Amino acid sequence: MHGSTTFSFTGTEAPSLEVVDLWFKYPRSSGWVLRGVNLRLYPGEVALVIGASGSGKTTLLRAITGVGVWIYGGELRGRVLLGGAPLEELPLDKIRRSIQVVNQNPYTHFIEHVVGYDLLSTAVQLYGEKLGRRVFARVTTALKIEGLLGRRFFELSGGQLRRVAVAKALLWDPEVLVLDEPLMWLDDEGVADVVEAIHVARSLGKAVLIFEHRFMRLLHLADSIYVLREGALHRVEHDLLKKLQRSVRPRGSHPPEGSGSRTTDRPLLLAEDVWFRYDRREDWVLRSLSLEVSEGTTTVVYGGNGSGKSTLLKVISGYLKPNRGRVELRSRAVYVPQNIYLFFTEESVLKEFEVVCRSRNLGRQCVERGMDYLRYLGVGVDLEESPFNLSWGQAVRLAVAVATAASVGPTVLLLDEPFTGLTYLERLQLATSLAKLGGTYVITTSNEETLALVSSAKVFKLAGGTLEELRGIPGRDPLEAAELCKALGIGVNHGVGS
Amino acid sequence: MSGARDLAYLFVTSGRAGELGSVAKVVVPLTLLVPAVAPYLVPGAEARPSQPAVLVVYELLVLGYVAGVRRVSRMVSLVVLFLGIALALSMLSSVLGTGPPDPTYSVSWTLRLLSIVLALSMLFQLLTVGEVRYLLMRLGLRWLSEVVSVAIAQLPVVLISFSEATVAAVLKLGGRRVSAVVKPLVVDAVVISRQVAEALYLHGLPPAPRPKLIEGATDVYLILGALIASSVSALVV
Repeated sequence: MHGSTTFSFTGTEAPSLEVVDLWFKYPRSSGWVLRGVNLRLYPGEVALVIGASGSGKTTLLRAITGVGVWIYGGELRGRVLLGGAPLEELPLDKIRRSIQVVNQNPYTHFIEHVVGYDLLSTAVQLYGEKLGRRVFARVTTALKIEGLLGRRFFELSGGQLRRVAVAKALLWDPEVLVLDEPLMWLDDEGVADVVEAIHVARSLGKAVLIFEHRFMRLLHLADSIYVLREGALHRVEHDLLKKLQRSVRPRGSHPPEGSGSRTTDRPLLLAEDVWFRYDRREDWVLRSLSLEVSEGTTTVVYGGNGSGKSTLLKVISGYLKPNRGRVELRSRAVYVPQNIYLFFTEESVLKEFEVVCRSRNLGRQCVERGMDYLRYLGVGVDLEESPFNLSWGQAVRLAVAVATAASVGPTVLLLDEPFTGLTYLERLQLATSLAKLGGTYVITTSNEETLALVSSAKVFKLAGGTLEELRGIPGRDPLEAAELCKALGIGVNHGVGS
Repeated sequence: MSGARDLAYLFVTSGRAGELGSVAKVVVPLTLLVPAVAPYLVPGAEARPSQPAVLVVYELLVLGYVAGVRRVSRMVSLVVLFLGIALALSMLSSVLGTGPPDPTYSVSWTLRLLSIVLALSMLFQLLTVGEVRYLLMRLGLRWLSEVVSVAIAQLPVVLISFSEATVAAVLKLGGRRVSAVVKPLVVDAVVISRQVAEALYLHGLPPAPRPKLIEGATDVYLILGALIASSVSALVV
């Protein structure tokens, strides 16, 4: 691994990106989302921008690339200079060669299914056949993705996908590389992949701008850190951050202990010697796996990307049948997918409750119970609001409320990576909410740092298709991080995410 | 879940697509497609199972070479599915009193339909997205070429979303109103399309370079094989 180095970028070199008093709003937004952003980014500098969900991080990204104006039709005031030239005066090709973005969903970066074809065709587009092949070879070697070139982009793990997307961006040889939430959906190994890719970009002299709310793993490589708050960037000095990290202790925001739980010894779910694979010609995803979940308990399944966590949830829900072994579910199961918005089927929050209650032949009481849960979980939204417009954190809690409200008797809630996409504070808030409700949960997670949030849970590691119980929860990063968020003034935004 | 993935792979470029020239990639599937489609266009065309069976066997051989035995064995499971559908339709028509159709007729038209699906699948598996775009642009369909490129590129991602949304809806609504899955998928598609628009703004679409017409002897063998299979199937009629 690379050591942490902090540079001071105050030399005579011209900034790669300069943002001066930038204001931005979308056509339908009532007020300005960005209100006077200032930023200077020099070649080889890594800047980290942190902020709550909905604080405007993605909007800032859209504003400085021109996407905000040209794709979203937003209004922009102030100046954005790329390599000293005003953004609005640059032709599109020059913008592409000055600034490249790896967005939250890197799947959308690819046109060809086979990674190698996609990258090579981009390189040939930019430099012609002969030079293009040379650039392609150089970039793929630098990012160590030669082994991935024959794979299809949708077969890659999260970390591999982002490394390939960074490679595609670097083919343009841009002055500025922007990464929007590069750690989203990544396991611990994937995080290391992304960190390595950032080091490579920096070593090539690129200015790197990272927007991320899971920032603890990136602090060591950031040369400058900013907090995006109330539409403006506030620089945080490293010394102050170190002081805060030392002084921060998880006060008050202790791990939820499940005070509202109704733990019993009654098992709701029994899986015995379960074997599962999608195809007879493929390897087993689950092998000789056993699990018992009792009413009122929380079970956490921790494992890397592609370890079979989602498959396990679908098998224990009864949706997928095991090839061998037995799954006995003595209650209903509700599955909340990783992409939370795929859970919702109705156009308003109220209708979500009405429809799910009707599907179980429950009356008005069920809907009212749902409203109570919603208030209890602190989701203060208009009932006519579309669930698709809620922030990620609100959407996860709404899904929990909907599933719980319509439970007749015990229900096992299967939550696939619910902490992904949330700020540290929102994670803490969700963990607290789940503990308050005291239901029966099976939660999957791919990163170790969230384990501390569910310290009262039974934690299993899923590797090689089998479960192994983990004793002693490692680390307490997220709790410190949540405190750090509070100290930096990064609250929980209730506004609509970008 | 697995079905959605298998369906996606029917329309995804194969890793060995680069080993063939563009002429073979287009000529082989089209040569097989024509005799499979022709009886639909000719009124009163007689149907015998042996005719499309020849085409299906050759298609599976080519796909086995291009995509590997594992993927083709999944396609064989599709054969079983299609035959099952044909059988179900025969049973249904007998229940409805429209008279049981000749079983030979059912099998023949089922195989023909399968032959068409496999030929189209072969076309998608052989051609890279760039080649599809090049061909459409050469046909003067520039706008369509861009839309088709993006649609093919994102198809596997959409199918993954479809699978996830279905599981969530089935468990949430207890198997009722599974059609409700349409709404989240529409929203998801809108979100993806915006992100694709952003990605296109920043990357653009790589130009569709003139593809290599002939790559080697394998091209010739495959084209000859397709012509023979097509002729044999015509002679069988």
